[in-house]
Amino acid sequence: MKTVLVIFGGRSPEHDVSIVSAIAAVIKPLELLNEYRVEPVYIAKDGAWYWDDRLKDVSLYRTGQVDQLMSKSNSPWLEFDGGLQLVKQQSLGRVRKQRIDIVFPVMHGSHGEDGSLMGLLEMAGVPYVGCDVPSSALAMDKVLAKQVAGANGIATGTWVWLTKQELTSDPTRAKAKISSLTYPLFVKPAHAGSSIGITKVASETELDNALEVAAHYDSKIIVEEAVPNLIEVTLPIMGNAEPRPALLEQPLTDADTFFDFETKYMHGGKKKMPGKKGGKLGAHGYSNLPAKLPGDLYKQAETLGLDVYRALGCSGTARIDMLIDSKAGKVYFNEINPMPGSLYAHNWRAAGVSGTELAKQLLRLAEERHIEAEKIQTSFSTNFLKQF
Amino acid sequence: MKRFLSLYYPTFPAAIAYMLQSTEYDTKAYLAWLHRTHDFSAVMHRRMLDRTMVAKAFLIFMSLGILLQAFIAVVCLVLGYSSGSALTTFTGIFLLLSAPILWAYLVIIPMFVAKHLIINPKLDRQRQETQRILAAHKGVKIAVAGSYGKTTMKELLATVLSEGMNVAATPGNKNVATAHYQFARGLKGDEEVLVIEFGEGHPGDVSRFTKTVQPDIAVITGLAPAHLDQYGSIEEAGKDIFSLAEALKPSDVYANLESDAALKHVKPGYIGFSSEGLDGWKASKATIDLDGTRFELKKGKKVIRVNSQIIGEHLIGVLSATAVIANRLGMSIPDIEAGFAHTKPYEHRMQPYRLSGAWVIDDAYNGNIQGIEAGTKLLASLKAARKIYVTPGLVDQGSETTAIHEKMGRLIANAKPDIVVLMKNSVTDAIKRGLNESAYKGEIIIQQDALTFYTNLDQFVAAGDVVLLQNDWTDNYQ
Amino acid sequence: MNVIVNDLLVNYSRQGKGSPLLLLHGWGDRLETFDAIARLLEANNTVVRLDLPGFGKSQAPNEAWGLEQYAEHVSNFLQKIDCQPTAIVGHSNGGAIAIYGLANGQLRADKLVLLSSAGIRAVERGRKFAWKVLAKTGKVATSTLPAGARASLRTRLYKSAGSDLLIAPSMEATFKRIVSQDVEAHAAKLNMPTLIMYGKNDTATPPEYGEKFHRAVKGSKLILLDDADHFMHQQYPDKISALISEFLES
Repeated sequence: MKTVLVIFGGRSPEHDVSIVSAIAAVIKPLELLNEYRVEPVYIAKDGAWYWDDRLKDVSLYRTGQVDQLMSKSNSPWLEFDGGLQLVKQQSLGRVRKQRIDIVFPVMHGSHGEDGSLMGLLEMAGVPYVGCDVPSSALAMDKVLAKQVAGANGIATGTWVWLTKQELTSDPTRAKAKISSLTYPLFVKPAHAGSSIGITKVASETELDNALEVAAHYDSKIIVEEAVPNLIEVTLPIMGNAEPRPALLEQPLTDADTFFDFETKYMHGGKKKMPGKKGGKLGAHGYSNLPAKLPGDLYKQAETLGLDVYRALGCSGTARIDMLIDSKAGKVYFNEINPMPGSLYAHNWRAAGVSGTELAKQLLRLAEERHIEAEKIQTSFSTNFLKQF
Repeated sequence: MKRFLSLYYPTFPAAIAYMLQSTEYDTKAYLAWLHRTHDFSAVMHRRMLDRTMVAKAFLIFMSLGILLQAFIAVVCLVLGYSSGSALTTFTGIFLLLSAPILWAYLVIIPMFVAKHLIINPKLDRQRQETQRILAAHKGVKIAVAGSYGKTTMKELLATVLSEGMNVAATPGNKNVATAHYQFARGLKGDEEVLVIEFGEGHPGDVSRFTKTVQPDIAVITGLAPAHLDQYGSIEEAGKDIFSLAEALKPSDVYANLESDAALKHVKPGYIGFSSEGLDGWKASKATIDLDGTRFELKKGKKVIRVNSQIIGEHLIGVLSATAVIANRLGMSIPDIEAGFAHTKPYEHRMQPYRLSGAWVIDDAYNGNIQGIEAGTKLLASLKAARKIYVTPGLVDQGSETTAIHEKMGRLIANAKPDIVVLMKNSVTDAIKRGLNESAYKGEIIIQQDALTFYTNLDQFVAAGDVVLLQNDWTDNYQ
Repeated sequence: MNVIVNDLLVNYSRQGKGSPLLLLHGWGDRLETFDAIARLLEANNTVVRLDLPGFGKSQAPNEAWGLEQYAEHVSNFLQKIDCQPTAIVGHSNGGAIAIYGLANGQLRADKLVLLSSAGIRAVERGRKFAWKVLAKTGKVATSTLPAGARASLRTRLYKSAGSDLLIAPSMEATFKRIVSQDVEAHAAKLNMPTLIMYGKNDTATPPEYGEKFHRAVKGSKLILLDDADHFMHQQYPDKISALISEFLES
């Protein structure tokens, strides 16, 4: 039986979401399959790691008992012995060791979804689920993601970017960049996950405060023109060389009211949408699944999503968010999530992939990528050292 | 070790009380379970002890008994220690260690006493009262008996006949003497038809019910190995069930001809029913899917179009018998057809429901191979992205157990499910052999804990899947 | 909406049209506490609310704050969003902040409304009462929701108000500092029309506080409400908002 290490929690503001994603969408289905041994590693808000079987139970976090557990446990360490071993000092001088065959990182946001954890796992030479280092890093930087997509001929809308440094040293010049854009605008931190620090700005008078808020979260800021006649859609994709789309999903938000972090996560996605009919309750709120789009827009959006996935070099899974101008019939790439909340299992289920199947497929893709990479990286001997 | 220790858990008396309750205070079944149990801390898994008066009385009896013995043991130990008597000390140790297990047997005594001094006389009184009420009642009495399918039959009759007549039927699957008594007492007296289900648990049950109820019409739904621990053989069970038929005119007896085991008990003159029809009525043009079962019954120029939401090819005979009995009792064909429109799947009997975009057919109450055959046939006929078949196997199959489960494996394989999920138990290997014999190509998942699996079914399914769940084992079978 | 005030992220809301009205919440509370009365008041006023630092979705201060820092912060916030309120409504600790800020020139307003205002620091109460308020905030704020939603929301409230923010060491110290500050003397310096309301069943800030403030603030008007407790604006939003509107128009 292969041992899967599931890593979740973390220092990002999406810490709580990560716990739910890991337990509901990864640990539970994998344990139900009885085909893998599942080891949980929880990263606390302060960055400390914990390894304990009890961490698989979501009630531990809900009741706050996790605090007691943390105060009584030692943190584990990782042993890079040509592979990966998890090691922990236990009471009476005993040491618990566990060889890890595959890692399933279920981290959202910075310090985890951004490629940093993937780098560690690359160094250990262990297969891991989800996007690799470069694609994760690209995905978590809204500016880089759009630049790479744009360079591959993918429509990204109209936007500019600036740094906090520019903003403080020469605000006039920095803001001159923005003057070419047409209001309303979205001002966003380039890296923060979910909707944190994002402000919709109707006119220039509101711009300063919005820039300040974005700069509070990030040293890099992106300012985008709002897409008119907006339909927002999102598409989960899975696969390595041959990516496969799930269903295009349309969150039923009012195009003018911006969905902030609170509505997205804190309300459990169950906020009432007055006056909206035909919505289906998905894991992240009311949505049309699959999205009902006029003409060939569904096909267009699906194609664009797959193009982005390939352009950014994604593997494993990712979710592409797109903006559609329904009058112009134009689809724009907005952003990409390398580790969608709860793996977007509700969408995959509607697309015919069960929760257990999804987790299993992702493990298979991780191993497949690892084997492919090893084929390429065969080391060869040189006589370089002998020259000295 | 865990088994031994579990004897001394504080929950042990509750576990015993639960076992008594789950076996309905039947000494034989209780002892069988007691001897089979390894870990008493794990007995209460699926359900918990329902704290009825009786259960509490046994719980107190057990606890007090164990405490009393433990107290005596401690006295012995103290005495043995102070007097230096090894014998007394050993007696004390023996008494202390043996307390729980000894009282698990001693608990049978009050059960025996209560049965003969309280319960049996009470049942006799209830029987007499039932007999008196029903004898005076003018309604047509229809008795339904059989090893399986009787609740479905009873509900069908009650639903369809209600369309044109005033009908009373025994509730749910309540089919023993006390239930009959309560049913009789609740009658208003103006009912035109009474439908009464006869349960069989112990030899002689059905013949006693026949005497009490004095039915006008009998329906025998089939014979299969069930309650063999009590009856000893299917032969004996068959004799008891068919004693109902013996007491009536042959032309008032309806018997299911699709039950192989029942055939030898079917006498000439009985009205046999099957998916072909009965009594001159021919069934044809049947379609079965998740919306239900539809077919036509024809006799001469008369046609009854049966359209029921209940699902299963094996139910065509039962549906036909219902229609024909309704016709015999004078209902018009439009009324009969309207009556069928109200028939819905019963809970856990081929009951389809939606889960995460998939169809789940819940057939958890199905406990016989005929039902398995019908279910797997339906599964084979349905279109689905993936077909998933889930079962723990069947219980109470007696000496036939291995053969029946191998057959079950073959039936499952014929339905070509993509995934077969088996709950790990004593019959798992036989089912797997059957699957292999029929060269099953799909995936087999063995689940250790059925409860966990059922509660997390949503993790296993996706849109477009069809899942068939057949049978479910309670705690007293593993 | 978010805005940065002296390097602290502040969550606030602004709704309605008319003369601006600032609502200040109490300890352990958040701007949502005023949801019901804000909906009623927005017909005639621009209603501005903020999560005070350390509460709701606003960032906690890095060091221990007292009433003066909170009052200063509110003042900076108002400047940042370019709003000068004509009246301030303060509930519980929000009342104490309003009194302190107005008495010391940090804040300006033509009228003041005190709802169950804190700031009278009876020696024995202090800490015990504040915990009660904290627990109550969760309870009352969610009492209008269906049971299921209430449970989940309460966990959330406790989590943000109860554990997360109090874990921040500065908030613990802030708490100690604030409950040691009595504003009765500051209240005596006030000279604007003041409406004081207390619930007769309020055990956290009992009606006696109201009488003390009433005596301290010249020309103030005191209303004691029957069957009302510390969270009267959630109990009787119609009545409270009507009394406020009437007072503002007079």
